Formats: sequence, structure tokens, C-alpha cells
Amino acid sequence: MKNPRSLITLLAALVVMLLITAGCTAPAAPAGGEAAPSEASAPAEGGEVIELTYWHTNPGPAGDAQDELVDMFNESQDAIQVSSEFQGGYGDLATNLLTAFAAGGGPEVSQLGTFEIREFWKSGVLEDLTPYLNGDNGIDTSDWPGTMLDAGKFDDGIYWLPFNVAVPVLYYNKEAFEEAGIDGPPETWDEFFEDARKLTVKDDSGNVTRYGVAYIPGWFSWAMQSAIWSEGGELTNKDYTNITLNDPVVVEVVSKFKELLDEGAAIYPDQASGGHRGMFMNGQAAMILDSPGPFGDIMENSQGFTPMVANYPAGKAGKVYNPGGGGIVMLTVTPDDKKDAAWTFMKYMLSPESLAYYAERSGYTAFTGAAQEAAGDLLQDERYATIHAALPYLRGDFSVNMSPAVRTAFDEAWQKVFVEGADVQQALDEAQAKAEENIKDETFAP
Amino acid sequence: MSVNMHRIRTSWHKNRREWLTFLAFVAPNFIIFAVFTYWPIIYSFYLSFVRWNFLTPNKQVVGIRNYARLMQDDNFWEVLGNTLVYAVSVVLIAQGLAFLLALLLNRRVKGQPFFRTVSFTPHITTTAAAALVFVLLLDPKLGPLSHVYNFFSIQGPRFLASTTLAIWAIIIVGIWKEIGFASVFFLAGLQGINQEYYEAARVDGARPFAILRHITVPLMAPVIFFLMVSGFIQATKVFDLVAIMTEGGPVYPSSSTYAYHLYQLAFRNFRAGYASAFAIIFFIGVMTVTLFQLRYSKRWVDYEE
Repeated sequence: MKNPRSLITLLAALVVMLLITAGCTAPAAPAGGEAAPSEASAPAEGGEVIELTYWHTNPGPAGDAQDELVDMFNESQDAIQVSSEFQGGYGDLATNLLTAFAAGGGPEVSQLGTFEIREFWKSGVLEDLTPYLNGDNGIDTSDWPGTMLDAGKFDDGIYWLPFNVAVPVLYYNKEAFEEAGIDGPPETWDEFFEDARKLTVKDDSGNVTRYGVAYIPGWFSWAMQSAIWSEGGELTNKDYTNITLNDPVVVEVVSKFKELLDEGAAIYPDQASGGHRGMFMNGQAAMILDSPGPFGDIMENSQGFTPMVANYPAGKAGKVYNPGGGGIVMLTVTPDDKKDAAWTFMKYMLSPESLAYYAERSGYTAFTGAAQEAAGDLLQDERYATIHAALPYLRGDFSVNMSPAVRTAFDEAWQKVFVEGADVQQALDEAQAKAEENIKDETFAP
Repeated sequence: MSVNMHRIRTSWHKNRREWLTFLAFVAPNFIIFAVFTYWPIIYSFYLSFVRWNFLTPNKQVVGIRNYARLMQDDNFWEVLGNTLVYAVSVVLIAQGLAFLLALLLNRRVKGQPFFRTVSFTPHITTTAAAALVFVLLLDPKLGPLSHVYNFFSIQGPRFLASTTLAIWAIIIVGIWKEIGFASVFFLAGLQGINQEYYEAARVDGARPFAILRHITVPLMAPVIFFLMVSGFIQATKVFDLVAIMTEGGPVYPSSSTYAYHLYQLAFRNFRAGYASAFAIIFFIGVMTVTLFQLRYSKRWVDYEE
């Protein structure tokens, strides 16, 4: 090193490299997730504040209300401070959890949709909540509806708890029903298909001016699953050893929905034109099968008729309803000394008062018995009471959602049937074969 | 031998300073590329031989199984076909139109800068916003096109509800966005052509079309070539338009593209290994096309300098 300048150049290069590598590693630390208690903003009086991070989805009031609940929790006590972070849609939330977990970080508590529960459980992302549920600081789940608690149950552990629970809601056009001489909403699925025909109006040249029903573009399988279950059909069992996408009942139910389309009594709209909700609100469709999600919008913005709500019809097996929405989970990255705090927060989110508050703000249901008591005023409204009447019939089983193999095969099949007019039996046979083949690639393959 | 070594050694001594300076300048970029581009490519190559969901600690090595399955996967061929249709259509149609637009803009008209800006605007418009606007435009009942359909009392096509038309709705937006970008490049190229060629041609009595064919197009070949290569590669990566306009539907994957399907596989279905095999095939494909185009372009592109 005779020449000092070369040394300087070398040093400069090193500094630059260090800066860059430092720059690379710094953001990799989980944002906020792992802040040690000692670093926490100095607690005002005695004891260390435990800091937690909560991730959630749901844009609009359903997301804001979660932020509000977190604020209320923080104000209710001094020991735990939760920061609430919005992560986008359900899919984005899951992707963010995935990347955070892969990097060894992430929030302690998170909302989670219904699609990823099994994959995350199988990969050890989710904490078993059974000890907390049954512990001294537990939750009495005896008044939880239907089999909702089963949804997150794997191998005798419970890894996911329902939080924002949606039930099926049938919206109907009161005047259209009166016009067609139909007395009230359909009680059975057979009645539903008949009513759809009676409600359809065509002009002189045969163009449909009002459809009996508009299907949900993209995720109509969610609604159809209630119909299939209610008629006694199954799409798969829980461990995927018996996938039955071409089960005779499935074929029959999908065929009935297709017949309505063929006759012009139903339409499968595209998302673009406001989809099924837009058509219903404009009076172009007399019924839609949906969830409480659009309740406020439909009640306020429907044009020229009175929108009404009803439960989905019953089938041969009675009423078996497919829940929607999401739940909350604790992640295994949570350090042991924070787990009790994380559970305390989860318990707060699931308290009757929180659920009642959330139901009022978001449109999701106050799904536990105690929450309904807490939401007494809300349920005075007959329409909310009707929506909540669906709760006892919920079946907590997201097996179709949770397997990409089953889910995508079924979606492709019914979409082919609805959009391309494919043969129902053939499409479902193909879906069955595809699902059985692709299930082998799942981490939880039987 | 020893003489040779000696020479190398002296040149090394002599150039050491230059070398270090070179390293200092190159290192930042190289490290960024290495960490964020080269390493992921190599790692992805490895992942394409395993079964993994990003989460489990152990990756199960499955050999070429991912590739073998891929060849038999209908969705692979369909998204590949869609992507090629999209890329070829966008490149040919958009650049054809952009060339014509550039010829028009190249005339000495009043307010040329204004028109140039207008034609470039689509390219800098947020894709998401543009896609949403087009979704409404194309709607047969709500969009402005509905007036046209009503006037002729015909049933307008429901682009996004049709398995054959949905991809074309995406192509239309792709073209709209690409025209502005390409036309600015073409215009810059046109303005770089020495006017003396045109004067000489006119003196010789050449007709406008002959001038276009024998002077403009040959001299523009480098620009055309550059835009075609970069445009094609860019177009094969289309993702956002699909995500916003159709989500690959109405019957998945009728309007899905390679990049969109890849994302679905990896981050919605958690199949990291299989998705990596998809990515590697894509990487090889794009590399091949690029090398092929670069190699054979020499035959017909005459770079002036």
C-alpha cells in the first residue's frame, strides 16, 4: 500500500458495501412485531408494557371498527399496548403473513380468512388455542352457533377462532314478489328455482327486462355450497380422502342453477357492471344470494322498490349454511412471555361487547349468544333479527376453501358450466379427476 | 511463460488503482443485483426441484417432477398461449399504430408538443386506473358504448363475461398504454433522420410512399427493433391488467397470463416449487427470444454508427 489513495479508494469501496449490506438487513427486521419490552415507550407507572401487533383485513367500516376495538382495548388497561395494522384484502393479508413468517417475524395476533387455515396450521404457523380457551382466562364457547368452533380444529387442537362471521342472506325485491303473486321468500330450494322463473319478466321481443336471480360473479360457489349441503350433498370430507365433486347431489344442484341461466331466468353477471348487487339494486334482478356485506348499500341505494332480507332456503337435509368472513389467530412466532398478553387481546376481541360493537359497525354478525344479548338494540330491527336467525345453521367447515386443488377444480367446473354452457356431469367429472390428482401436491395430502 | 506472468503482474500493479476504482463504482450496483436478482434466480432454480410451501422448514426434493407435471398442466399451456397472444398483439398493433401516430406528429403542425404530450399520457397513467376506466367503457349496459349499441339496436358484446373476448379486453388496454410510449420513441427517431435524405429524394421525384419505404423505415430500423424487443419482453410480464380487469376469468384461466398465474400458484396456493418451475421456464423463454432477436437482427438492422 504505497499509494495512500488506493487505500482510500479501497476503504471507500468497503464503506459503500457496508452501507448497502446494512441497508439490506435493516428493513428485514419485522416491523414493530418484535419490539422488546425494554424498548417499549416508557410505561408511565410501574411495570413494563407489553407491545403487540395485530394485522387485519377488511377495507371500510369492517376494518375501521377493528382499529376502534384495538384502541378501546388499549384504553381499557395499561399492561398491553396493541398496534393495529391494515394489510389489504384477505389474500394480501395471507401473503404478508407468509412472508413475515418465512423471515421469522410477523404479528402476534392476526385476522385470517378461511382459505389458508389448514396450510398455515400444517406448517406450524398457528398457535394451538385450546389451552387458552379452556384455561383460567378462557372463553365459554357453549353459546357459539352451529359447528363454528370446528372450523379451526385440527388433530384435537383449535388454531383459528371465528371473528367476523358472515351468514348467507337472500335479498329480494318485495314488489316483484307481489307482482308475481308469490307469498314471501322461498322456503325451500325447489321453491327458489320456481320463484326465479315466476319473477322473470321479458319484453315483447323476448329480451329479459328482469331476471329472477343474479348469481355472484367469481365466488358463487360460496352460495352454492349452502344449497348443496342443504340438499344433503358433499364436495369433500375434511381430510380429502373422499373428494366428491361429481356427487349426484352436486350435479343436480349445479344443473338446476344452470337451467335457470338457460331459460333466461337467471344471469351470471360480470364483476365490472357492479355485478349481481348492482343488478339487484337497479331492479334488474329480483333476488340475489349474498351475505350481510352489502346490507347497508342495498337498503340505502336500491332504486324504485323495497329491498327485503331472508335466510337461504332449506333443502332435503334442512338448513345447512356456509359461513363466510374470517377469524383470528395467534402466531407461533409470538415469544412465550407475550402469549398470555396476546390471548388477553384475542379474548377482548371476542367478548360479547366487542362482537356486538363490531356487528353494528361492520355488518357482520354478532355470532355468539352473549353477543346477541349485548347487541339487543340492533336486533330490534327485524331485518337484523332475520339475518341473525341463520346463525344456528352454520356449518364450520371450510374444507373446500382450504384446498387449492379442490377449490380451483370446483370453481373451474361451475364457471365452465355457467359461462360456456358446458355439460354439468362432464365438467364435474373432470373436476373430480383434477382435484384427486392435484391434492397429491398439497402439503396436507392424504 | 514466465515473461508472460511477469507482464501480467506488472499490468496488474499498474492497473490496481484503476481496478479498485472500478470496483468501488461497480460494487454498489453489483451487490444490489446479486442480492435481489441473481441470487433469487439461482435460488428459484433450486426451488423448482422441490416441493415446498414457503413455510415448512424442510423442502422435499422431487427431482424434475415439477417440470414433468407442468408439461401436462392444461393451465400452463393456456396461460402461455394467452401471454403470447397478448404480447404479439400488443407489440404488433400498438407499434404499428404508434408508428403512424409518430408520422403524423412529425409534421410541422401547430401545437405539436401538445399532441405529443397527449399521446404519451396513457403510458404514465396508473395502470389500475386505466384498467378500471376501460372496464366501464367496455360494459355493454353502463358504458358509453351502450349508446352505440342502442343506436343500432344490437346487443353489445359482454367482453369481460366471455371466455374468448376477455383476453382481448386486456389487450385493448395494453395497446392503448403502449402506443404512447412507442410513439414518443418513434418520433424521436424520426426527428433524428437527416432532412437531406428527404430533400434528395424529393429532388429525384420520389413519391411519399417510396420515401417512407426506402428512407424512413430503413433508417428507423434500430428504433423499431429496440421497441419490438423491449415491448415484447415487457408485454409478456403483464400482471396488473389481469388482476384488475378479469382475475383470469370469467372461467379461470381463460384470460390469465403467465405472470398472474405464477403469482396465484406461489402466493395464493403456496406451491413455491411448482411456481418456481413456471418461473424458470419463463426465464429461459425470454432469454431465448432475446438472444434470437439480437442475433438475427444484425441481418436487417443497420445501425448507423
